[in-house]
Amino acid sequence: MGVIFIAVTLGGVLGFFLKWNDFLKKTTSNLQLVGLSVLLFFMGVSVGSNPDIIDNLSLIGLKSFSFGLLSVFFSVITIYAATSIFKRRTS
Amino acid sequence: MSLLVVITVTLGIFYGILFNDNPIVANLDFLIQATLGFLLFFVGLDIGSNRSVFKGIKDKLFSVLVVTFSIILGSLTGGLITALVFSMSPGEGLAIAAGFGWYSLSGIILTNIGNAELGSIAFLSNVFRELITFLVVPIIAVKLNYLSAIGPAGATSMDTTLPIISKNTDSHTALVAFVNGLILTAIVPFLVPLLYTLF
Repeated sequence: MGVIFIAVTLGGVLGFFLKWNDFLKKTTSNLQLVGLSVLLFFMGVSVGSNPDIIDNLSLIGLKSFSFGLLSVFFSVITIYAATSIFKRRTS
Repeated sequence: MSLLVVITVTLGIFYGILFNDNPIVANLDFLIQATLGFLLFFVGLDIGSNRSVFKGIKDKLFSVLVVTFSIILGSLTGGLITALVFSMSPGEGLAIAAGFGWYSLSGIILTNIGNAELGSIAFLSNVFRELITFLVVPIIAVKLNYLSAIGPAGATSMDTTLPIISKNTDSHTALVAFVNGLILTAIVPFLVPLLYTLF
């Protein structure tokens, strides 16, 4: 939790005072892509190396996947509907 | 972007299954925290570099309200329907969905106040929610709108999934996502046991 706030705040303050040019924008965008790939790989490893997940997959996999998918589906359509209703204030 | 997600996550999963005993797995928590810190620094840079990001704070708060409330309503609807399909009790379904992607905590809570199987389902459901989020955020940001792309993330939109939201939307959306994640993270510890006991 502490790391999150320090990282975002540090970036925010630096981002505010930096002189932004195209090179800097492109470099940070590329670094983000590299970092994101590394994070996604590690998240995958944390799933694959966890016996609680892999061993239970055949037993409760379908049930769990349904919970995940339907929560995502209804969250997205509810936001989409709400932002369509309040278009002026949310765009 | 979605292809990148599929490839990197799949590679990671197979790596985790095949090479269970190595330095990466042993130091995984630290590695994830470090990478996340690195990425959130760049999310901060994006937000800070945009001078207009703190303008219209009232409308931004309104957007947070719309997003957070919709995620709570949508997730619980999804949880309730899934519970009915698999003949579980409404309280179980609602409590699982109220993890909003925060798998470690919702799994622990429901193991304690419910049972081991319910805890495992809560854990795995919210792991799936996070994986699905990585996959669909890039698509939703293009096909629907930026705020809808926060929907899949739930409580994780303040940490693990914030980088992918930020990368696929803009700094305004990243800020809304961060605050949404903060609020949902704060209510998960109360909402999960409450829904389980009430229904």
